[in-house]
This record gives sequence, C-alpha cells and structure tokens, in this order.
Amino acid sequence: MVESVYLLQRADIETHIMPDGTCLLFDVVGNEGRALNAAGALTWDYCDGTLSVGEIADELAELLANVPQVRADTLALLAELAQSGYLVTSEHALTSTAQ
Amino acid sequence: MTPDPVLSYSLLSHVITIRGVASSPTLPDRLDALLGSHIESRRHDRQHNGAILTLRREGDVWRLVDPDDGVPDTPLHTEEQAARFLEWLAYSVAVRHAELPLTLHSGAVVRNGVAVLLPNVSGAGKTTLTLALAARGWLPLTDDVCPLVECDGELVAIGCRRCCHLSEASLAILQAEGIALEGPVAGLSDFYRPQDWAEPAPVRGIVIPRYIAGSPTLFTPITQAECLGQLTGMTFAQDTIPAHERRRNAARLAAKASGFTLTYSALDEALDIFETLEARIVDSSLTEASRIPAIIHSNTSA
Repeated sequence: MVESVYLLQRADIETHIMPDGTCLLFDVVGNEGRALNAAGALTWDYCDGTLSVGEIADELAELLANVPQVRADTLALLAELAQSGYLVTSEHALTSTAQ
Repeated sequence: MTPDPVLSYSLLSHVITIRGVASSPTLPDRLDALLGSHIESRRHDRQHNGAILTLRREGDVWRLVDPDDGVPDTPLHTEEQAARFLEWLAYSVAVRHAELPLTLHSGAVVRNGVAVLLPNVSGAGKTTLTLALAARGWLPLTDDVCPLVECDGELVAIGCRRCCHLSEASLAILQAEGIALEGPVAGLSDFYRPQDWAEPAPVRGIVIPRYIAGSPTLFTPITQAECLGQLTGMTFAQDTIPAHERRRNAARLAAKASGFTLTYSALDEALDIFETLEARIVDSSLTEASRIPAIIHSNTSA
C-alpha cells in the first residue's frame, strides 16, 4: 500500500470499543465482524483522514516502541482493512459523501 | 358452530396459540409435554402479544395454514412429525417476537450464582457439554436458546427450559457421567430435559466450545472483541429489537465477562477446565480501569 494515501473509516461501519482496549468492527452490509487487538483499535482510531498511512504507522511505532514489527504490522493491517472495505481512501470517501 | 379448540402456551413471555390439533389423539398431550402446560384458553393474536399457528388436516397429512416467510410448507405425516415441527416453530416464533434485550444461540450453566455462556452453532457440542457440567456442580439454564434480561443495569441469563435434542451417543456419554435426565419427552426418542435447572444469574464467563474428534484439550483466553465477534454471530433475530441494538447489548455482555475458546475431544478434560473456571473469571467491573492500556487513555484525551 502506498504510504502517502489517506484512509478514512467507512461511515457505516459500527465500532465497538471494549474495556480491554480491543475493538470489534462490524460491517452491517456484509454482516460480519472483524476483531482488532489494542494496537489495531488504536490504528483504526487514527483513520480519520488526518494522517497518511505512513504517518499512522510512524505514530504507532513511536507509541508502541517496545512492540517488535509494529510499523510493518500497522501497514499490513491498514492494507487489509482497505482491501476488505472497512477503510476507504479519503478521495473516495469525499466522493461517496457528495453523492 | 362449535369454536375450534385452541391450545395456548407462554414461551419467553410470548403467547403462542396452536389451533387445529385439539381433536388429534396425542398432539395436545405431546405439546403440553414439550411446551409446558397450556395456559387459559383465550383469544390471542398478534396485536395482543401473541401468535397463532394453525394446522389443517388434508387427507392423510397435516399442513400449516398460512405459513410466514421462511417457514417450510412441509406435509406432516404423523403426530410425531407434527409435534416436532410445532415445537420447533413455536420456539422460533417466540424468539422472533421476544421483547428481550438479547437472545443468544448458546448453552448456559450456573454455579455459585455465576453464569457461564457456551455460545456456538449447532453441532459444536454445546448440549453434551452443557448437560455434563452438572456432574461438576454447574447446573444448566439452557442448552440452546439463552434469553437475557436487564436486571440492576446488567444482562442476566434467564435460560429456557426447552427440551434438549440428544443423539444416542450423547445420551450414553451423559448416562456414564451420571447425569439425571427426564425423557424421552412427548414420546420423542431424542427429546430430553435435565432434572435440575439453575436459577437466573449474571454472566461472568463466555466459553466457546468446539468438539473436534481426536483434538487435545485447548483452553485459550480471547479478547473481549473476539468474544463479541462470536456473540454477534450467535444472536437470534428479533423483530422487536433492531440488530444494532442487539449488537450493543452483546457488547455490554462481552465487556462484563471473561472469554475463552475450548476445543476438546475428551469430555472429562473439558469438565476439569470448569473446576477452576471461577478462579480464572475476572470480574471485569472491578478491574476494568486497570485493564485499559494507558495508551488508549492518552489517545482518548488527545
């Protein structure tokens, strides 16, 4: 995934943040859920179009410096969530909103 | 004209009225055994928190009159077939119309006032494990349909005394464990009920059971999100509660409970896990704040 891309949470995805820091994303269209660990939940929270993919990965790497591979894992998660439709590129999100 | 006699049953606080069977030799008694003694016969309809199921005799078979969408229009050749079908349909209708915050496809057991849910799809081994746990002091609330109600700001499992459907193999396993069962109920060879039931209790543990022949016993903690993911797949559709509200209630449940997966083939080893389960169940309400990673706090406040 290109690190300069800006990603946004799809508007109709339900986010259930749990007390243990994990979260469940529920796609009401596909009727399926995707559980994220605490780092994944934090990554998801960053996806408001403010930071690029690379900047989000940098943030996570800085915040979770003691977690090995966190930058690579964050990039992989963002790519996976984008591919499965939970995240959309900000241009696409703006187009969808305008429609 | 003599009015058609009706049988009415209260299931999950919903009245199910069955018409067209009163003249059959065995169906009224079978339905009483399966659905509980019928309540006072009076007019119930959909506007009065009730549903009506009507059977009609057509030659040698019974058929359901005006089946709703999704209900199979199956010809019922024997009274036994009709009893099985009506039992399934009555519970299906009751669950769909239940005015409860959440109803799960789950077994549930209680010990020392703590309920543990065992949610999973049919065939995962819920029933055998749920009933066998009585040998270790965990009494069943239900093996299949678990309704939950609001009580003091949390969800409490109230259970459902529907008959359990047991294969001959499961029955033999339960007999070997010394589990006392009532049945066969209504003359149906695979319909049994436990002799002792638990009282309603708040849910503090969620164990997702999976029987796999030959598998070692694996008991693994899961995150609350993973637990919620499982629960969302096990919620029964209810006309009275929107899907997003059911998911929100499932999230409240997962937030209060400790979640685990249990894969097993040796029943005794699975039962042993439950001997120490209470000690492993963390009271989330007491430790919630300490379990939230500091990083989430800093992110939230940013």
